[in-house]
Amino acid sequence: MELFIAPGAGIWCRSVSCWDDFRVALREESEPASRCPEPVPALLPEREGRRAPLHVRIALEAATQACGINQLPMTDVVTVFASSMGDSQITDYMCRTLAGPAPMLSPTRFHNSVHNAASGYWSIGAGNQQASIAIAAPPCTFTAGLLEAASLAITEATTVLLVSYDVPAPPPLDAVCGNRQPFAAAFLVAPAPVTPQWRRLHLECRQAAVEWPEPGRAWLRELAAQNECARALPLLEALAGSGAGRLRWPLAEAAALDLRLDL
Amino acid sequence: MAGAWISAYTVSCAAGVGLGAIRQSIASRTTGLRHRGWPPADIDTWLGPVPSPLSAGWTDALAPWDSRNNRLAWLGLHQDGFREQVDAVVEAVGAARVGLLVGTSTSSIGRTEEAYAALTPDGRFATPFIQPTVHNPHSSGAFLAHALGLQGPRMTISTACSSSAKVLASADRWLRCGVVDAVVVAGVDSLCRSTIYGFESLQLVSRNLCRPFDARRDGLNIGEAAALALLVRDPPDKPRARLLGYGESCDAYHMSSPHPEGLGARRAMEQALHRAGVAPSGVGYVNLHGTGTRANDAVESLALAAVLPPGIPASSTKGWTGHTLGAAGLVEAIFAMEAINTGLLPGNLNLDTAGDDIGYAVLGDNLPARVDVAVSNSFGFGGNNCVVVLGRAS
Repeated sequence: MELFIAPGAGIWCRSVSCWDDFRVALREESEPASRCPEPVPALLPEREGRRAPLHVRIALEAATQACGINQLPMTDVVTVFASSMGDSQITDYMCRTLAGPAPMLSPTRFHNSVHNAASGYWSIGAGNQQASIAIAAPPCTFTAGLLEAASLAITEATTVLLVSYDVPAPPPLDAVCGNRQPFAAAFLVAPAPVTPQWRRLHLECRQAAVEWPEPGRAWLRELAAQNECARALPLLEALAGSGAGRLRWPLAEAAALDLRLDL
Repeated sequence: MAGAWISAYTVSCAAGVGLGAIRQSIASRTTGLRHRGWPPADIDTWLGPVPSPLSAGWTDALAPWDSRNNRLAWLGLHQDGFREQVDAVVEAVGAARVGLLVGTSTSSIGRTEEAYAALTPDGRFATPFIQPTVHNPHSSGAFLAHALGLQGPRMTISTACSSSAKVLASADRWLRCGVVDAVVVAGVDSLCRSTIYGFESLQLVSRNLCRPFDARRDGLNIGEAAALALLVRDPPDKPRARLLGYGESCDAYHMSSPHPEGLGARRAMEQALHRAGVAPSGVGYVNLHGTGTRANDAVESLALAAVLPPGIPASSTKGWTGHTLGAAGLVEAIFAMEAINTGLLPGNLNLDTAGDDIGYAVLGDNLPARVDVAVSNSFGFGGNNCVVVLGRAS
């Protein structure tokens, strides 16, 4: 598959809160010491934004950044929201409540428990009525999201926003889920360059058992190991001009997704 | 759009395990819903458990995958010769060229509920519940890939109650992109306390049998199902149906209430018919989302009236199955294909007098008719809509 990717991406993690900061941070050996405040999405009314679950807030933050720095209207893009676990905080709340003596759930927390919560809040906040797909495919959620975004862009001849995000799992769920840090990234892909700065991307599914691509910096390798969706980091590095233009991610035990990014 | 061929399909739900039993339930207008039909949910409502023990064929070797959702997927996989059809395609094109797309809203959260009810004194998961492949939204996707030996791309779509309608659209795109030659699609959702108590908290659960589109409708009944279909790019020897088109949209309105004028639903229906190249008058049957809640049914009827000419047979089959949530999209797409293949359109159960807020005539009695094009509607929380158009195979 051949398509194009926007030159800038959205990113939010504990120490980097935007694309420009990420490019600066890539020059440093160690992780920036300061901690970013948790984002409150400007898309939502302030009260609703503050009360939205963390995974929704970081997904909307990265999505808004990607559209903003690439100057694309938020209303027009088709979206793929990729998260391995969705909201493990709400899973913990619901299962704990249901195991207790009075199994009464909060209606708001119940409707926020759907895996497409970020997709729903995005469509409401951005006024976006286009198709939106929420997926999970652990341990290959980011790879599956990239494949889904590419197949949408090519077959529907449309610009697609891919948002990939996960938040830490609380105990006891942390015994069965490896997400230890929050992370969100957002990319835009399209079948043709939207501006001359968009870069050509080749993707191919192959029959091969492969290892995860590793980011260049140790602190980013640690982040990639502590958040499934941070497996996107090597693509962020490549877009920032400091990583390999050829990448290969596992898609299943014996399947891989190969990527080549033209200069 | 000349879309994917559907070479096999099967459903297991409250109305029957496998197509033979379901056809009997439809013809005899026998509901599968049971009052307080699943004891772990202590709520005065009707529920749609699958009428079969979920232990049949489940072996100790499958213990790492154990959950009600995966047992249900396993049961469904072994009906109607479905597994053999998948095996034959894997043999023909290779396991790496067969993709897998699962639509679910519950995944295996029922198992996570059980784990929390049996925590160790220091608050950890007890040993049998430490199942990293089970306690996540992709549980049944990973399980079905394992069970069928598939090696192609795989993922779970989880957009609440439109989940397993959308797997048809994504599968069609994967086939058109050429990343696979065949795709197994599934919709699997199982009874669990999260959804039953959750819908109860929203005051959407009926104390009675659900009565979609009726004046006295007062909510939904929750069911469970495993639906599976096999989609291929090249025409198979014995096609069952063809995917003619799909439409996907978002309401951009509210997390749990539909747009009051049904604009998102309407947009998805129009897009699906346009993509299929089917005129509204060319539709022979519509399987409605029709949950039985006041808001859904009124809004869906407005969207129908805006898109279709009057008089097209349209009904909800949730009176047989209950609302199977993430599985409903594929269950009902298969019911639409069954209408084409059996020539019997299911009339909406429990519809005595249509509500005065219902703007489109809904089919009440079963109707024998030849149908060449059938539509299935699915709408979910988050305002996520998907409509599919299915056509006669030949």
